[in-house]
Amino acid sequence: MIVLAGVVGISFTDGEYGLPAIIGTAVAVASGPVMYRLARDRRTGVV
Amino acid sequence: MRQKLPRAIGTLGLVFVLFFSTSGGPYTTETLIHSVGPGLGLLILALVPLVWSVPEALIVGELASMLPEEGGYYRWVDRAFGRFWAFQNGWLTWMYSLVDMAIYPVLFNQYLRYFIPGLDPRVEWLISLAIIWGAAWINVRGSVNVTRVSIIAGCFIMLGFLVLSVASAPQIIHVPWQPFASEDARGLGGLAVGISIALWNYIGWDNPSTVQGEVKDPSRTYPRALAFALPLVTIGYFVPLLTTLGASDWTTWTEGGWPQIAVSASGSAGRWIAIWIALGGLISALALFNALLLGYSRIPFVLADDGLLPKPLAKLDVRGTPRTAIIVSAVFYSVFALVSFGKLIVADVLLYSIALFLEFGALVQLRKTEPLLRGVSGFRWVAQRSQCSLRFR
Repeated sequence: MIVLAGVVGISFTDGEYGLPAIIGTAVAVASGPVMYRLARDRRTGVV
Repeated sequence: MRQKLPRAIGTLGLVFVLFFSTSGGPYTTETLIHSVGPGLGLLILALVPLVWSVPEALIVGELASMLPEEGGYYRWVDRAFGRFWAFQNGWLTWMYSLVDMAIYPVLFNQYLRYFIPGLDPRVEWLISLAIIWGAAWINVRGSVNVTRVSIIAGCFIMLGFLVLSVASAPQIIHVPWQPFASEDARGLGGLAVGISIALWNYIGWDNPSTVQGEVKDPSRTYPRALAFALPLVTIGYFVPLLTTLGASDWTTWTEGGWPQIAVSASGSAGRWIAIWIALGGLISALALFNALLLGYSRIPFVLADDGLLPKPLAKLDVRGTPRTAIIVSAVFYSVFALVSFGKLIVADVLLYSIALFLEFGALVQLRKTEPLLRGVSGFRWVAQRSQCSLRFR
């Protein structure tokens, strides 16, 4: 986790690669619970 | 209902699948050296396995021996934290796989340009499709065929870099780690990219865990394969880098430049070795895609088996291969091969790290809540060995 925190921290300082990475990661993480809800509702027949 | 798959993968096959799930040879390390300089590049490549890969391999080895099931990390997180977090782990893996898998066809075309310069972008995309569907065809023919291709490809690549190292050794004229850092390194941002490239070259030890249901004696085979693969990957980076850095001018090193490095570092045989290394680059890109497709395609398979994705994805063919899951995965990777993901490479490492953190949490949780589940603990093994040697003294 220390290595991860370090990479995230210094990624912010790099405009070319850092920001797209942080945005891409945030979108992927945020969409996970939504996709789970869709998958679970599909299984239970709600969708 | 969990389906049983034929167990046919042995230790050697798994070692080479792990080799291609993490490394594929020293290709891309030249970008690291170019970005940060020889000394710092070598230091990062030496530190990352110590602070990252060894702990990761110990976590993965213990979990893999605890719960040797098809689905690997998805099943570990499921058992520890339930279906929601397992899905998050599978989802994050799938997300970074879309970025990751788009890189290998690009890598293939990079080395193809050594033989055929000036390729049209449309032709390059068609070649990318051929790589993706060639690997899909090998995968559809069964996991044992994936391991066979991995063994042959791995031997070809390692032999090529061994020949390069032997030919470069007599040409060494300076210390390989001088200068320590590149003057052009862009401060902390440059260092972040350097660390990300190094991490990317050392991550993925859990990827083939998703095919554990297809491994013979998986509780013992997976930790054993990890113990062979990690030193193999590390030595595979250091030997060629140390010899060629000492025998060439690192400032001429560029991304995808291993054939040119071979020409400048290995004397009269350089031209022939360069062809071997360029061919190795093509084979490495294909074998990386092939081995990773094996692991990633099992995520939709197990999700469908649990009812979270459409049932046809969980269907097995007559060979016991999840053919639909492989084909659907290849369709997704074909679409995403159209998009340039170069700037998302750091996201690849971040997403992988979050997924790995969930797996670490699963290990801690399972040790606490299910003490009867015993895996091969690397820490315990090292502790026992240390005690034995102390007693012996």
